[in-house]
Amino acid sequence: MTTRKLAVAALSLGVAATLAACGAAGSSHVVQGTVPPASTPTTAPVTSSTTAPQGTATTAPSGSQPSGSPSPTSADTLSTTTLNQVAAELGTLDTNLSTADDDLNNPQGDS
Amino acid sequence: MTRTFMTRLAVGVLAAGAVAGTVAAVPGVAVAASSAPAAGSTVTTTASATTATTAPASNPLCTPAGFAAAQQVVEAALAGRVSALDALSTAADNPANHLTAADRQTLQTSITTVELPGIQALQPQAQQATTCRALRLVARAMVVNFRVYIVMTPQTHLTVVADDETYVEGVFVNLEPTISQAIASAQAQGKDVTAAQNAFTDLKSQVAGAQSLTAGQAATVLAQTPSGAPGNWQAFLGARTNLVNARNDLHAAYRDAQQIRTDLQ
Repeated sequence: MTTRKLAVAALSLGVAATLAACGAAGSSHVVQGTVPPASTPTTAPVTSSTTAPQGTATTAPSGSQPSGSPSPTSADTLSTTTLNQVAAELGTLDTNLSTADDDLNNPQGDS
Repeated sequence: MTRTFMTRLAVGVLAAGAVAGTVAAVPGVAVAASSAPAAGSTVTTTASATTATTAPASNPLCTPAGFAAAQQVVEAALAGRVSALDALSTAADNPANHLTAADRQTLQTSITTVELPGIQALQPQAQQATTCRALRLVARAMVVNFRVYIVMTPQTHLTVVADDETYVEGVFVNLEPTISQAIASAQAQGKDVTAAQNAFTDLKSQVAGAQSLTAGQAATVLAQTPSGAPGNWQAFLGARTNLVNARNDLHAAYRDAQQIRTDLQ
């Protein structure tokens, strides 16, 4: 493996490890949106995987409250998995924001 | 947009007014209508600008002959609020979101120990009311004391969004050292990392921008109370604007991350 590939692999592993540590894989909608999302969720790319070296570690986001246990991830699918997880988080965020948006656009009555 | 929003809100007020108005003049509704939230928001929203809340037809007066109908309207309005609060409680308790423990607790406490029992306590009062005056008191308390739809609902949903955004920002922040290292390694091998570096610079800027926008939003939203309505509507609109803009920043950061990975492959 070339050093350049190693660098890419390390980056991919770091991204995946961080998300896994945060329990980001289990996204789901908090509240079902009643209107279409404010924008189309970012589409995760389909890319080739890289092989990650062992021993690369990252830390969980500070100040966050992970809601789920990290799940083991195959080194062969780290890249796609990682960005898919980010995309899923952003998609959920869009849905939740759309729900809040709808609250303000269509207040039910005066109370 | 402003005019449309105002019109729709006025319709919404009318709709609720129809509920409480059924039992005669309703001070709470009058208050809400007199200071209806101005749109003021620059956010492009998803709802159709032409969508209007349909005001239910009802007799604006409670008369002896129409008392039973008025009573049914109030009871239905109370039941609707119970359902809404149950949904909010479920949202606040959903472990899949990224509410902080403190924010989750604050929402749950407000919803389940104040709002829900308060509305539920009014239900037997509405059922047992025998005069328009008694019914009017129940309707007014339902609207003014609890503000389920214009305070509790946006408060819960906006807090979830604010904390979700904070979580995603944390994910990006923790990736930054790894990305930096990867770019440096590629550069050391003679690879042109100009595009990756530019994308990384933008990623950091976008994340920092999102952090700035979300900072304090949950606290601001959670500080709003039913007694502050309808004046606190602007606080919700302001929070929405900031959270929408932060969302856009985070999407941009994601695109940067995609670009960086592509460039380093």
